[in-house]
Amino acid sequence: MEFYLTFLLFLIGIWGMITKENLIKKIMGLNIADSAIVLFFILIGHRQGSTAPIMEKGIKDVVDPLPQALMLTAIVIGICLTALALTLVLKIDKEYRTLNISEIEKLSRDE
Amino acid sequence: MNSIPLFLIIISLFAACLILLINFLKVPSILTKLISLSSIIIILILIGFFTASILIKKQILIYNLGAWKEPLGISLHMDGLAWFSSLFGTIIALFALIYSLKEKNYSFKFYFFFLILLSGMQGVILTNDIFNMFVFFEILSIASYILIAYSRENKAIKASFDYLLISSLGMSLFLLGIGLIYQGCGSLSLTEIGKNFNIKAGISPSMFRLAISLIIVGIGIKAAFVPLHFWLPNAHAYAPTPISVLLSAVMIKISFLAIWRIINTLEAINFQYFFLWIGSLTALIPVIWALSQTDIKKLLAYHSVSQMGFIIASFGAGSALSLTGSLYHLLNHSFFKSLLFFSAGAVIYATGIRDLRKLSGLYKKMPYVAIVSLVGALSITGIPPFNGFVSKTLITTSLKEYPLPSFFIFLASVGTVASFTKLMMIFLNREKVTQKNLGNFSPDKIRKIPKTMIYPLISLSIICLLSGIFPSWIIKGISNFILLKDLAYPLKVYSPSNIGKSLTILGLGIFLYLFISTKRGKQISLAIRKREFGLNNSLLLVLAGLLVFIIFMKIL
Repeated sequence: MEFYLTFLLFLIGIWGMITKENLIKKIMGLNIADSAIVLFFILIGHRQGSTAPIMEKGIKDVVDPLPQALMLTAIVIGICLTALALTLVLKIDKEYRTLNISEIEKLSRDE
Repeated sequence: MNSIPLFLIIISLFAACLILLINFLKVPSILTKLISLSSIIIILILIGFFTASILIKKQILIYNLGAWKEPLGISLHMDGLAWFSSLFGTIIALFALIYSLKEKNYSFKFYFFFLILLSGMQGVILTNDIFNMFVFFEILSIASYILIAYSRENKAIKASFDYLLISSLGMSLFLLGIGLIYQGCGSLSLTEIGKNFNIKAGISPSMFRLAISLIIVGIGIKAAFVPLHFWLPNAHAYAPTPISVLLSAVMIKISFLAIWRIINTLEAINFQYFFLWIGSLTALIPVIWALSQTDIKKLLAYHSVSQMGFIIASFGAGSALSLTGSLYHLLNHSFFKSLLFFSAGAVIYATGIRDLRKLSGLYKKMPYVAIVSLVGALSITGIPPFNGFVSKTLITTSLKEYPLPSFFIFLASVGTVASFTKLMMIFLNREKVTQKNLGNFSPDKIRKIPKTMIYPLISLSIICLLSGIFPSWIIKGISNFILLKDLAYPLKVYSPSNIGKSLTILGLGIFLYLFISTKRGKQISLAIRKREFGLNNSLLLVLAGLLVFIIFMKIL
């Protein structure tokens, strides 16, 4: 069930990226898709009823910590990308005076 | 000795940080250039002298990061393929850096990101951990997004943004694929995945297909497979010239070699046949667009995609000969495409114009550039005795059993000849064109090209000629030391039938050029040129490509 929900979230993100005309909404879509992937990884590592992998006496059943560690990296990369994308949007706004992708494409077309 | 793979990655990273640090101290900019040059030369020496021995001994050099052994830790593997790609990448980077010294007054930020890009590139090919590969891919791409937008012209920024969005979608798919693989076999190291994650080991076939398709499509965006390549022409055309070279000659190849490596370790042989089709289509379709372009760098960028098609198709055939041809063409393409981009950059530097229709009679003003561009054009079109001829012959010989793909490849070669005839016409005098279209271009206003821009051009054209005249050494080297396979039969490249074939292609290509320069041909090119896919459609095509991939896998 959770996997399907994550997949749905991923599809929502991609839908946003493809159909929205506004550049900032596109970036939001990318972020949503990224979050879906983060959730997916966390789900891989998760097991019902097990605890955090801090090895003390009496703890046997632990979750797999590796996906969480991976996702920390992926989140950091995602933040970098978002920051860069928003900077580019700022520059695009300065150059074209609009954030609508079809208008921008009309303006930047070769003659 | 063992830690050399690590140094290949961190030397340029260290140099980049050093550049950032010393620029707080208001040092002259020559120091920045010196640091970046010396770091690349050190890397080149490390690859060339210290690790060449692994080729001869046919070993793999393994370095475990933090001394954690493989299934748990990350390790760097330096095998023949990694050595090869690391070497040619660094050589091209060195040329690009020399070229950039006097081209414009690049700030220290340019060199900073240039070195980061280099470091990411080395990481992608050296690492043996699939998540680590993802991280290095992101380092590489973030640096390249910034460098593409470096000129801050409106088209460059737009191209960079498009690339960012499409490529990030691809990287998300890649990450999803990694997740599926991790779920399937509980490990991230490529060798371990190769052992545990295949259909033989009881992984369900649909899961296997899905994971591989996601990974191939994710990286395939960077390697410019055909429905996924729409970001490339703009990004490569509007980047500064040294960066266009690095992206076209190295980055798309590194991405392709990453796919090569993943397919090899996962033993996904079924997929290889699919690459034959993707490759032949990748060779053919961009040529149609390239023929209609008027922007000098955009034409070259479309041809980068098309030449990748040759490489991919030859990889798909999967025999020892075709794999050798694929790697050889990869090497050759990176040399002659960087030569062509450099000379296009020199033309743009000298005249300030990038429209083919407005340039004419440049041979008298810059004979050097004209001659080296001719070398590049002859190489890419596959005319003997240049290197393109050798590798294209290898590819066409190995694709003989597949009639339709080799027909596509043949058509692509004809189109390549036509569009490079079009490109070379800027050096000749064209009286008819000159009077009407010249616009603001006047032959007296040509700037002198500095020597640092000429050296890379000359050395690259010498490489193109030499590797065309003495092919057998390189062919043997690639097949024996990198692929570890013996070519089954002695190959004679310069046979009359091969030369005849390439001359036929030349004739047909010139015929096609004559057609597209008529009035009717110009109307058709205008119609094609306008039919460029926007960002939304490109993103949609990525998904469509993924679907086609998965469905096709199911059929095979």
